[in-house]
Amino acid sequence: MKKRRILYITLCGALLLTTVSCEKVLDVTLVGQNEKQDALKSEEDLNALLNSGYTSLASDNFYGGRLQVTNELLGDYIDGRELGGDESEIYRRNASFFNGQLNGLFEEGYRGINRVNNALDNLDLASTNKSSIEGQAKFIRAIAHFELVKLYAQPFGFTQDNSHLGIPLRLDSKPSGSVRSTVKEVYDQIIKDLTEAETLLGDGNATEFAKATKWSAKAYLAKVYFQMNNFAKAYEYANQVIISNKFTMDADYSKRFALGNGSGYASKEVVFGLINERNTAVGTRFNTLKSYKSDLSLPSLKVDPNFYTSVKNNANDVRKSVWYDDSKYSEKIVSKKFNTERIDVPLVYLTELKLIRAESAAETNANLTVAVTDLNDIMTRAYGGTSRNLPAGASAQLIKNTARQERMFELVGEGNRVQELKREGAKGENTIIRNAPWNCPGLVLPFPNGEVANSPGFVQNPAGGTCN
Amino acid sequence: MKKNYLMKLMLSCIFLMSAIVASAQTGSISGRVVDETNQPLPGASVTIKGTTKSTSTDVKGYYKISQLGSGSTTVAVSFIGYQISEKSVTTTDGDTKLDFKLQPSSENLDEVIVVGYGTQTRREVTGSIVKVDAAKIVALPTPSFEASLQGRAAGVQVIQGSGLAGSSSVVRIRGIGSISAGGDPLYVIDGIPVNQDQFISGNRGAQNQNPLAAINPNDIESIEILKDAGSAGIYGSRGSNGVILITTKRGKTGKPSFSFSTKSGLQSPASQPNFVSGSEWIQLYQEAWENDGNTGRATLPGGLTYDQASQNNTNWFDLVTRQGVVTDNNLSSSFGQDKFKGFVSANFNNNESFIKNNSYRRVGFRGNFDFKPLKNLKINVSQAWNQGRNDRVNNAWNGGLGAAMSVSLPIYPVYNSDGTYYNPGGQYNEMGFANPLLAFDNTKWRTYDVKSLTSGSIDYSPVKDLSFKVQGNYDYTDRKEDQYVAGIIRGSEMGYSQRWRNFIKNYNYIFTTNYNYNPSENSKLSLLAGYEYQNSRNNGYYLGAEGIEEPFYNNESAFDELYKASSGLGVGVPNKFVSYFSRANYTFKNRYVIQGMFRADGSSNFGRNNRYGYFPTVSAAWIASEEDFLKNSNVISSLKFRVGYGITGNAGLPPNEWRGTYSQPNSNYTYNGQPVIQPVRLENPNLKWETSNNFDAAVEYGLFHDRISGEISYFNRLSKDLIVNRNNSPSTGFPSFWDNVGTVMNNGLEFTINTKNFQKKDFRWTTSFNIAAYYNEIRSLGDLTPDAAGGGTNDTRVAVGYPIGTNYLVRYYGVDPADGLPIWLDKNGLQTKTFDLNNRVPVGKVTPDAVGGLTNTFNYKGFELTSLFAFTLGGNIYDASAKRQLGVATWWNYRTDIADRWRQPGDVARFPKLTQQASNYPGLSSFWQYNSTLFLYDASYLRLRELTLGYNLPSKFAARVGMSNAKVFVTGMNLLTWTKYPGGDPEIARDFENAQDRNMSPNITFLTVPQAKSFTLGLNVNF
Repeated sequence: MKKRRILYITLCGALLLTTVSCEKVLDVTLVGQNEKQDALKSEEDLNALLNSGYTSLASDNFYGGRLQVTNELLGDYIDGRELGGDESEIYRRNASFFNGQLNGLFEEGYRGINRVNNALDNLDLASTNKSSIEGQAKFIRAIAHFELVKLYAQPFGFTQDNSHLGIPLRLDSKPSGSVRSTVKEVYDQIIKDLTEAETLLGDGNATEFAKATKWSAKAYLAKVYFQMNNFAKAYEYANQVIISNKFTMDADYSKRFALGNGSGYASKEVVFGLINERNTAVGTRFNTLKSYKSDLSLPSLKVDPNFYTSVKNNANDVRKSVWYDDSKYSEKIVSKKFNTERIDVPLVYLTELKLIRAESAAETNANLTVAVTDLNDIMTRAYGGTSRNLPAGASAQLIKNTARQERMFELVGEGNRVQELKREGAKGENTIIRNAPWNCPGLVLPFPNGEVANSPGFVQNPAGGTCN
Repeated sequence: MKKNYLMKLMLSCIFLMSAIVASAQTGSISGRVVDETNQPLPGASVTIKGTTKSTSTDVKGYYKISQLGSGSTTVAVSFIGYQISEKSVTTTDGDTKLDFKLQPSSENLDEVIVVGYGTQTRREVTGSIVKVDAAKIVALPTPSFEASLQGRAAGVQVIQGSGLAGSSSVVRIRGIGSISAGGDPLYVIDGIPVNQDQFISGNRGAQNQNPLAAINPNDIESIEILKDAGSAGIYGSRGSNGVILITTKRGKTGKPSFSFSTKSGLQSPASQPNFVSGSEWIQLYQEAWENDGNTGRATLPGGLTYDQASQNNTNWFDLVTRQGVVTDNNLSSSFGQDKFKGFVSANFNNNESFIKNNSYRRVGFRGNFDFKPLKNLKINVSQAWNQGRNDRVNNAWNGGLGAAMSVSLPIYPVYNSDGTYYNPGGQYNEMGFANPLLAFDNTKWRTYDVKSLTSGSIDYSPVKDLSFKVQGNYDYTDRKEDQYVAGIIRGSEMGYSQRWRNFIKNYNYIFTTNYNYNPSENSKLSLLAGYEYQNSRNNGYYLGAEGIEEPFYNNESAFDELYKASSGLGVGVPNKFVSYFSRANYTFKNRYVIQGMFRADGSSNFGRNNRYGYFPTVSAAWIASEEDFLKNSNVISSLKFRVGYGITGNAGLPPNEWRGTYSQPNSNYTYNGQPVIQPVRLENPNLKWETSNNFDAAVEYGLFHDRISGEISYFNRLSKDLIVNRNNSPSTGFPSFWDNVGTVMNNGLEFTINTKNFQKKDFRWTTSFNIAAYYNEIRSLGDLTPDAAGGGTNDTRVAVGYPIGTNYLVRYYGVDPADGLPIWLDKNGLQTKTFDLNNRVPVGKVTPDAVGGLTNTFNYKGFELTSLFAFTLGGNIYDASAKRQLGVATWWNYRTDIADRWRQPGDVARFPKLTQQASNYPGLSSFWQYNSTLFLYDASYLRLRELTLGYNLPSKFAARVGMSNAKVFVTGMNLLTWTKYPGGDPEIARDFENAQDRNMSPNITFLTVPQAKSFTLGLNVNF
C-alpha cells in the first residue's frame, strides 16, 4: 500500500514537471502592430512612417481645424457670445493649462514632429529617395514648430534679440525631458530645416501632389520670414514661387477648399496643402473646421458682428455673399466658407504669397509695380471687376494698407489674422487685438499641464486674463 | 397534485416492503429532520455511528435506515451550515421514530468552505474568508449579482453602478492598492477565472457594460470572498485585490425536487436632484444678466423669445423616466442517485429600468452533472448559457437623463408648433441633444451578450488519500452591439448604422493533486500541488456604414455585405497566464494549524526580463477553544486566532505595453491612398509586476454557546512598484506610458458580530453587524507630481501622504458679502479673490473611512422580516455636475440649492452672485474650471438597502398541495437614504474611462444616473 502511494506521488510529480512550459507560450503576438525591427525594414516602411507625419498634420487636432480655430478665437473674427467652455477660455485670453482642446493641439503638433524625427533617426533605411524623405521630414518638422511657436510664445521681435522663451525644440525622437528654447533658436531651426528641405526636395509630381516639394519649402520660407518681419527674404522666396508659374490664380472662390480629384487639388493655387482621402471608406478629415459649417444646423462658431460690419461695409465685395450668411439664423451671422462635407485644406497658396510679396515690396519700398499687380489680381476677383483696383503708381503706404485689408478678408477663418496682428505689433506698430495689446499674455497659450508637471524647471507662460 | 402524492406514498410502501423482505435484521429508524424554523432539511446526511450505514433525507426531510439489529444505536445528522446533532436510541425489531431539529451554526468548525482549488473545513482555514449565502444574493433586484454583496461582509465595499440596466458595480476588497492596474477582485465561477472586463465596449453612451450581468444569480449556491494573502495567496499574482469564488448549485441525492421562484416589482429613482421651474430659471438667468451690468431682457438660449420661453415649464426628468418594472422567473431541478446527480435550471429576467427605452433582459440555462462511475472516480460536467439583451440609451455626458439634468432647460418646449421635436442646436446640445426625446426616438441601440461557461473535470483517487484532478474550462462571451442613429442626430441627410462585435474566448485548464497524510489522530497534513494555464483573447471589430436606415439587428444582410467587403477583422491579443501552485496545510491536535502556499505566475503582459512572479504565503491558526482550559467554559464557546503573511501581485494591465511598437499599414488608414506606419508607444522593457506584502491577524470568537459570535481582524497591505499609466511630456510625442512607480499602504480593522437576541419557540431575532475601517496612503510616487501621475479627469489625484483618489481642489472660503464675489484660499491658506488652479491642494478623498452593514432578522411563526442597512462613513463626494448646475449661468438648468446665493450687498450666502461670464469671477477661465471645495461633500450615508417581509406557508398546508415548502415575500430595495449630499444619490459609480478611473473616481458624479428604488413581490416554491 505504502509503496503504491509513493509510486503515485512520484508519477504525479513527473506529470507536473512535464507541463512546464517553454518561454514561448508567453510570447504573444502583436496585432496590427510591430516592434521596430519588424516595422521598419525598408525605404518603403520609412516612407509609410513619414506619411504618419502628414496624417498628424491633417488630424482634427491640428490643421484639421483645431489650429485655425484656436488662432481665430484669439483674433476678432469669431462671435464670443455663448462659446463652449474650452473655446470661451481661449477667446477670453484666459486659457487654463487643463484646456482639453489646446492640449490636444499641442500633443498632435509634437506627435507629428516626433514621427518625422523618427523617420530622420532611421534615415539609413532610405535608398533612392533618401533626400526626398529627409527633405519632407524636415519640412514637416519646421512647419509644426512654426505653428506651435506662434501660439505658445510671444512673437518674433517681442524682445530685440529674441531671447524670450519659445517652445521645446524636438530634433530627435528620444523621449527626453522638456526644455524651452528661445524664440531665436526656434526660428533659426525652422529656417535651417526649411532651407535644407528646399535643397533636398524636388519639384514633386502629380501622384505625390499632397506632399512637400521644394516649392512648399520656399513658400513656407516666405511665410516664416514675413512673420519675422524680414521683408527682403520674404519677398525673395514668395517671388521665386510666384514666378515659377507652376501655380495659377483661381478665377473664383469655389475651388479653394473644394475636394480635388485623384491627381491634384481643385484649386490651382495650392503650393502645399493637406488632403482628404479620396477613398471615402477611410473616413473624413478636417472635422474641426466643421465647427464653422452652417448649412445644416447652427454651428458652434459664428461670425463676430463687428467683423461682419466691416465686410458688409466693404463695397462690391463678392466674398460677402460667398462666405457669409446673415439671414439663415436669427441674430446670428455664420460662415459659409467651409460648408462642403468633404474638403481639401490648402496651407499655403498663391493668394497668400501674392499678399506677402506685395506687402514686402511696400515695406522695402521696391518692386511696387509688382505689388500693385499682385493686389489687383486679388481685388479684381474679390470685387467682381477692376472697380477697386489700385492705380499703377500707388504709394507704398497704400499698397501696405490694401494688402493688409485684403489679407484680413481673404484668409478669414484660416487662422492667419491674429498672428498677422502680432507681427505688426512686434514690428513696433501700436496694434490692438480685440481691445488688448498685441503682447497681452493671454494671447500666448499656456503649455499643457502634462508638459510642466513632467519637466522639472519648465517655465510656464504667464497667466492670461489680464488684458480684458 | 393529489395523484402525485398517492404515487409517492405507493413508492414508499414498495421500498418499505422490499426492505422488510430483504433483510433478516428487521429493525429500522426513521424520522424527520427539520431546521430551527421547523422547515424540512432535504439532503441532510444521517449516519449510524460506528457503521457504514447512512442515508440522506428526502425533499420533505424524511429519512429511514433499515436492516438494523436490536440494541443501542447512536444516530448522527449533519447538514452544511448546521450543528451536528447526535441522538442515542434503543432499536427494536420494528421501526423506531427519531426526529431531529438542527440548529444553525455560523461558526461550525467542521463546516466545509470553498477555498482556492478545493475545500477546507473551517477548522483548517488560516486565512480571511467570508462566506455569503446564496439566498442573500437573489433577494435584491440589483443590475448584477455582485451588487448584492453590499453590506454583507466586512471589508467588502460595493458601490452599485446605477439604476441603469446592465451597469457594473465597483467592488473593493480591503481598500484599493493600485493606481492604473485593475482594482477589481478576481471572479472565479466553479474554478473558471471569468472575463469581467467592463471596458470591452469602452465607455460608450456613458456606460460601461458589465459582463457579469449575464450570470444568473439564482444558480449560485454560495459565494466565498478571499480577502487576505492567507486565503487569496494561492491565486498569486491575481490575488492582490481579493478573490470572489462563486459556487453554483449541484444535484443532491434523492428524488427529483423542483424549485420555482417568481418575482416582479416596480422601480423608480432612489433619489433625484431638484431643479428650478421655467419661470425660476428665467429669473435666475435675468439676474445674472443684470449682475453683469446689462439692462433690458437677457437673450435667452435656444432662440426663444421671452414670451415663448415663459409659456413653458417642461420637466425633462419626468419625461425621460418612467415606472420601471422588474421580473424574474426561475425554475430549477435537482435529482440524483449514488452514481449520477444533476442540477438544471432555466431563468428569465427582465429589468426595465426607470429610464425610458432602457432594459436588460436575460435568458439563462444551466446544467451541472456529476457522475461517479467508480467509487474513486468522479466526473463533473457543467454548462451554463446566458443571453443578455440590453436596450441602451445615452446617459450622463452623452444625453438622455444626463441631458435632462443639464442642457434640457425647463423653458424649452418638447415640440415645435408644427409637431416636430424642438431642438435648440449649436452649443445648447453639448451634453447630447438638449431634447432627449428627440435623441431617444432617433436612436436604436442594443447590446446582445451571450455568455457561455463550460467546464468538465475528472477526479480520480487511485489510493486512499491521494487524488488527481483535471479540469478544463471555457468561458465564452459573444457581444454584439448595434446602434443606429438617424440623420437628424448626425446633422446629415443619412442615418448611420454600426456594429461593435467582440468574441472573448477565455479558456483555462487546471491540473491538481491532493494528498492527505494522517499519521495519527492528532496530526493531519493536506498537500496540494497544481498547474494552471489560462488564455484569454478578445477578438473584436467594428463596422459601420452610412445610409442604412435601421439597426443591423433588423437587417443582418446589410451587415453581411459590409462584412464581406472588409478583411482582417477581429484578431485580438491573447492574455496568458502559466501558473504553478502548491499548498500545505498541517493540523495538529485539531487546534494548531499552519499553512504555507506558493505560486509562481508567468504572464504574457510582461517582457522576458520580468515575466515570472513568485508569491509565497505562510499563515497559522490556533483554535484556543479546543484547549482543555477552555473546553468547558460557559462563556467562550469558540475562539480562534489567525495570523498570516504573504506576497500577492497584480498583472492587470493591457497586453504588450512593455513593447515599443509601430502600427502596421492598414487600408483603412492612409495618406493620399499611401500606406501609413505610425509609432504607437514607447518601450519599457522593465515593466514588471505590482506586488503587495500582506499581513493579516484576526480573532474569531463565539460566546455563550455561540449566541454571540463574530470576528475581529486587522490587515496591512503594502503595495509596491505600482503599475501606472503615467503622464509624460506631450512634446515627446507620447503623452503617457506604462511604468512602475511608487508604493501605497492599506490597513484597516474589520469587526463582525452576530447575535441571537431572542430564541423562543415562536419568536426569534438575530442581528448581524459588520464594519471595516480603512486607511489608505501613498507612501511614495517616485518622480511623479500629483498632476503627472495621470488621472487628468475627474479632479482626483494621487499625492504622497494622501490616499489614492485624493480630491485636489482649490479651497472655497465663501462669498464676500460686500460684492458677492467668491473668496478662495491660496496654497498657504490665505484668502484671495483670484481663482488660480495653482492653489489646488489635497482636500478630500473618495475612499471612505469605514463601510458596513447591519442585518436584522425577525421570525414570528411563519413570518420573517429582514432588514439590511448599508452605510458608509467619511470620505467625500465630488459633485462635478454642480459646477454647471450651480455655477455660471449658461444653457444648463439650475438646481434649487441656488436659492442660497448672494443678491445684494450684505447678503451672507453660500453661492456667489450670478453671472453669465466665468471671467467675472476673477481668475476663472471658464465654467468648466469652476472646481473647488464648494462642491465637495461628506460622503457618509445610511441606506435601508433591503427590507423583506416573507411568509412561509405552514408545512402541513404546503404538503397538502404537493409542495415541500412555499414562501411568499415582498422586498423593498433602497427605500430610505440618509445623506448630507444635496445633489441626489450618494452612492456613485459613474461611467469610467479605464481601470485607473475606476480606482480613482468612484464618488465623483457627473450627471450620473441615480440608483433604483424598488418593490418586488415574490413566491418561492419547492416541490
